Amino acid sequence: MTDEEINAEYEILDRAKRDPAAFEILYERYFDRIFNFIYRQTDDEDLTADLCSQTFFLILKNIDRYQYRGVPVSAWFYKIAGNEVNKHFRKIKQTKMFSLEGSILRNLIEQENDDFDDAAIHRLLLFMQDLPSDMLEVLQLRFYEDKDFKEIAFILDQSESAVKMRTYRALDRLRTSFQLKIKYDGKE
Amino acid sequence: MGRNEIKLRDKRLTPDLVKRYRNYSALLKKVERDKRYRQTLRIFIISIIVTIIVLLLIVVSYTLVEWEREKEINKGKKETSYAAFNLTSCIKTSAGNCNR
Repeated sequence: MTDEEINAEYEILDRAKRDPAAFEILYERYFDRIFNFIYRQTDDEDLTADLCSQTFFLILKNIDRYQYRGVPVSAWFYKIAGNEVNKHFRKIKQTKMFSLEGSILRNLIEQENDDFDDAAIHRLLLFMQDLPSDMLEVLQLRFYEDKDFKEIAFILDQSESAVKMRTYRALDRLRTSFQLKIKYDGKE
Repeated sequence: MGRNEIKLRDKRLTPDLVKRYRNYSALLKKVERDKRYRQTLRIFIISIIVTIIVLLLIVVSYTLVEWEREKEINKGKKETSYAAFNLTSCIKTSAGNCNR
């Protein structure tokens, strides 16, 4: 996202502070992405709809408190959505779930040999189950939501260096355990 | 850092499917309702605080008035008893000479 685009969205948000109807542009733009983001952590359509609605409700409710921090406004939306999901899982006392689209996962992995089939994917999932949750969160935001490190740091309330370290560690683990080559554009 | 539940799914959420849940006017209504609710709650809390302050002022002023009145009564009593004492002492001594 360019600086102009970030500023344009911030201006919309600023306008929405006085006139909530102005927020509709951002709502339409990000609803699907936030919905998918939540769905990947719940795997339940109705629950996702509730949490997504609550997320946008909280965004509008707290719009006056939003301060520009050099990241796209969508990072703030993701942050609120992530908090709502975590709150839900804390409330029901269950571990968070990650529901990943097979097609995206397969796209991320460049097969080095033909042995990497569905069974290998299954083994990969088992391996990922034992990764720390924070590592999975970083991977999800990086590869499924296509967020850069600065945004991920803002969303997860961590430093940028900590986020980078976690991503590289997770990727190293995957590479060494599965001899995988993971598509990585090196975007920062 | 416990184990995570990871699922691999083939189903992808299509924009048409998500569209069913997208309703900005309903969201705006919810926000407006919440704003009204918070305003009402704020007014209610402020009126309760004002009522408590007014009641406290009434109680304090009533207590002060009562205290002042009691002080007046006590002062009056003291003056009366002092005068009575003086009178009595005068009567007592009047058996001989009324000498104060």
